[in-house]
Amino acid sequence: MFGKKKRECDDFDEEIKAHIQLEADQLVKEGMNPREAESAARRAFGNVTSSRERFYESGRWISLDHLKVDIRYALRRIRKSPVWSATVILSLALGIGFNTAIFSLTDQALLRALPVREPERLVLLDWNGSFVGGAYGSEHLLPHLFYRDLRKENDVFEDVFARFPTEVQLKTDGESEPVEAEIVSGSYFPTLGVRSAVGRLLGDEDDLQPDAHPVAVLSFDYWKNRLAGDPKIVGKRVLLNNYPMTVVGVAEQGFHGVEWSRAPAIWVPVMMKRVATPTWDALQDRRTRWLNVFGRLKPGVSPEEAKTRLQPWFKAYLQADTQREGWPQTTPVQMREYMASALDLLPGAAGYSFMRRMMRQPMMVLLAATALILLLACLNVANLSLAKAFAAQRATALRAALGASRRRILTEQLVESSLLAAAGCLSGVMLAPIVIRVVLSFLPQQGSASMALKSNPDLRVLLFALTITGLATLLSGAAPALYAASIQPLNALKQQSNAVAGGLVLRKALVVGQFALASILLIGAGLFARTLANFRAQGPGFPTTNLLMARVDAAASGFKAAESKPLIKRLLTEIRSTPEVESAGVGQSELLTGGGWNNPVTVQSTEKFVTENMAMNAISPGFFEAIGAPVIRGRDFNERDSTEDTKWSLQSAIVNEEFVKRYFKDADPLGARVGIGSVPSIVPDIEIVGVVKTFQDFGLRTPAPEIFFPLWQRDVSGGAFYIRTHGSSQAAASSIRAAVRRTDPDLSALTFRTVDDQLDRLLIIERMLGILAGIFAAVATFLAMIGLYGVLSFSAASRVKEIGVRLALGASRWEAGGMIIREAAVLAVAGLAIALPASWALGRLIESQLFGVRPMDILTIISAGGILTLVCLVASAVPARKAALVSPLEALKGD
Amino acid sequence: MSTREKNSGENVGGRIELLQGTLDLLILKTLVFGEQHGQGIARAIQRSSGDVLLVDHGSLYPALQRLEAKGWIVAEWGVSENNRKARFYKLTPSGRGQLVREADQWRRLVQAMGRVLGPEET
Repeated sequence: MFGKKKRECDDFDEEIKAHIQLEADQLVKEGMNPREAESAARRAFGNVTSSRERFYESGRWISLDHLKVDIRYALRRIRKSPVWSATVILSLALGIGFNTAIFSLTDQALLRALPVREPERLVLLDWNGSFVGGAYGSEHLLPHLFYRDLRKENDVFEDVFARFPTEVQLKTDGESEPVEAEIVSGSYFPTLGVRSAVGRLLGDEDDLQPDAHPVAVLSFDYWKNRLAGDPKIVGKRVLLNNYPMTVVGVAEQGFHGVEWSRAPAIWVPVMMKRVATPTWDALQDRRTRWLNVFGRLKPGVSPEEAKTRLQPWFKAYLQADTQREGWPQTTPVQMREYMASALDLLPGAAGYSFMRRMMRQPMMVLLAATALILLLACLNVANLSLAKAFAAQRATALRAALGASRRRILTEQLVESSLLAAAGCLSGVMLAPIVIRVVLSFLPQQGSASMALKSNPDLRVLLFALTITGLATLLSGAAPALYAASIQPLNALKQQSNAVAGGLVLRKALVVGQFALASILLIGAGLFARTLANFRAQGPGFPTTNLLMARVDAAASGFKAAESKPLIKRLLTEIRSTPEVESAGVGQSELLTGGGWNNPVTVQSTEKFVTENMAMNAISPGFFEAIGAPVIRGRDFNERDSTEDTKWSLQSAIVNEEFVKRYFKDADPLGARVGIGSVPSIVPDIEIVGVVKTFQDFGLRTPAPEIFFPLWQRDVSGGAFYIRTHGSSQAAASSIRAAVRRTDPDLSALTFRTVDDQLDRLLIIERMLGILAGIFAAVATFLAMIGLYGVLSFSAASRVKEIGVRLALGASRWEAGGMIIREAAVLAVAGLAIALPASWALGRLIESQLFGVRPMDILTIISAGGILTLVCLVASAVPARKAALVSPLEALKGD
Repeated sequence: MSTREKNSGENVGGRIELLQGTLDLLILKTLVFGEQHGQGIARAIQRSSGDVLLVDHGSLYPALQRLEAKGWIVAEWGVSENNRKARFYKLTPSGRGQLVREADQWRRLVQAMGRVLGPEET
């Protein structure tokens, strides 16, 4: 039947004609006179036109026919009111664009699974309980030998692999530069199921003997971008921390390692760890945990089942561990807690990312904010469409009266809003990459590369954009469509056009909704702005202007441990003698990076107690002076603390005021002793010799206790120089570079950064939230203003008569204009009134992102109110002027 | 617009208008006796029901189209007994099958209705 040719309408007409003819013939035969028979036959047939219509509409192509007409008609209507259409498209584009952009980022940062074989079968192992020993890294860490044992002895995993992220100096062709590296076990690539783009990847054959496998795999992006996709890369030598390694291959495109935000440029076998991390070696040490261990579950084994089946093995491992040589002396409590540890399996499909955890809440906040914008845009479009539907009311009524079916009118409305939505969607999708680039511009360049974030939308994101466009169309098209269909032809035609004020209530409600949403976003933006301002006002506790940080890594430049310390000392002297430099000091770890060196400390004062992990740093004499944090009690370190023969036995320490407050209740701490570590065998033999004013080291949120050791008593492989310059730090940078070259030309690894810049980096999330929330609030306010303007214009026009009467009765022109402004104020206040409880509820969700400001901050609310007042005045200016200039005579004469 | 189709069981001068869906069955049944044009089908239904069933000529054609589309009947232009040009409809084998099925269903429905309603009420 599908092959059959569609019957022509003419053919059908012919059949009907024949039918009536035959019926008439019959009637004549039954004795009716021919003329009557003809009309009787017609009567019996009924409505011929309606029959033909039904025939026509049953056709397969008819709906397409209609659609073509509808689209042409809708396009004409869109073109006829360009400002109106542009406003609708702009509203939708803003709503969809922001949503798509933030969704795309959220998707890439938080949601997406690793691009590997069956990622859902991956789990991340986690030591749940207390570990006896130390750690390098952030979370979910396990010792290397634990990984070896697990791999040999488990029966739930197809295979397991281990990895550790670190930064290395990599020299391929030109200059040596710091890049991200991932130290991986030989099972890493096979277990993940990643393929190579060129050459081969690492395997078990690269994982046999420590220091015996100088091979590496490059990431696709590094190979393409830095080496221009060199086809002869396999077999090439590269210098990793100045150690020659042979490139054996390039990993496939799109694979960025298993930690989002730390995309490696190079993969190094775990056996070459000493090369990648020259300052520490924990390969054979069961008391140091540093590796993330992932497992690929055997098919059909659930994570719960695997966990249950692993526990006996884990208990046996714990037992065996305590019997091993080198097991430290522990308290019964520590022993009990160690033995009570369990092995947890965390979902590993998306890999692991510390940054992701940091980003989760801010991204959710932004996603929620964009959802509010989309809702606001929908209200705006609904409002605009209603306005248009009112304007077109008579035309619609006329068409209905002439026989257009309700369905046809609805369809037309829907086609028009779909076309506008499509245009909005398209513009939104084009806007999204721009928004993403704005967001990415907050990230430090190296950081954004390591996050491998893309600004161009992919299929998932396009699908998302389409979905929200559909939702937006339904939301914004429903009210006008229903309105159009509900028009009673008779009433609409009877009424005078400018007296039709019905529906204005609905439009006002929409504007109130818009103002409520805009208020919420304004208050949110205000809170984030204040948070950022508070962070900046508080600062790190020392003056940051003209303070430069230069990080030198002697080990990564290939210097032996014994050469490093004299080199760093010489460099410090050289820098101090540079004319632009006021003062300088060097510390082991950089300040304000969001993390750092920490360890439990045993404090011995009047009583003995053990701290939780505490921030610590090792510094040179003069460090506090350089950064501008005064020593307020006792003394700074001096050359006496620097005798080199006391290596590893730290004898003096300086603590900060917060430490004194926490552990000495402000009593005099000088002369008290501390020890690093928490096991009972620790002897507190380090004397507190000074107290320094508290400044922020890791982060800015809370002042934390911190303890400082003399740098020169430790192994020094590099350091962070803090240099106070006379003039601008940037200007001094070149003389300092020269000083570095003078000291030793081989010292290439050097990162320069002003402390102000470092603060910006530390405040990435806060800045991003502050600025994006500000943009969102501005857009929301703008949309609400358009909505208000539209309603006020309409309202002013429909109140002309009333205004005329009032003017005639003696009202002043100011009062006439005031009527409109009052109307605006009522709507805005209603919006704000709805927004307050809503933002109180939402404020709790963002509380953890705030600093120094409560969610219901009165100053913020007043500012938001002020902005809304301004918006009201702007939106009502033109309509109010029109109202004021109404001529009473004309108004009363009209109609 | 809303009065295109008359589907009520309303009594018009002792005649009963057709229930929805029954027209298809009647058309198929009528065509068992040979090919026929639209007007002939309408008349035949009226006649064989003892003038009880009233066929709205206007709604006959959509039904014919429907049956044609389903492949139960085919049509061809021809000439009527009184030498008029007319479009003649003919039952196809699958239409015959459909008729058997539908007639069977209908009979069962009528029986069941009869049992439920019981003897005629006074």
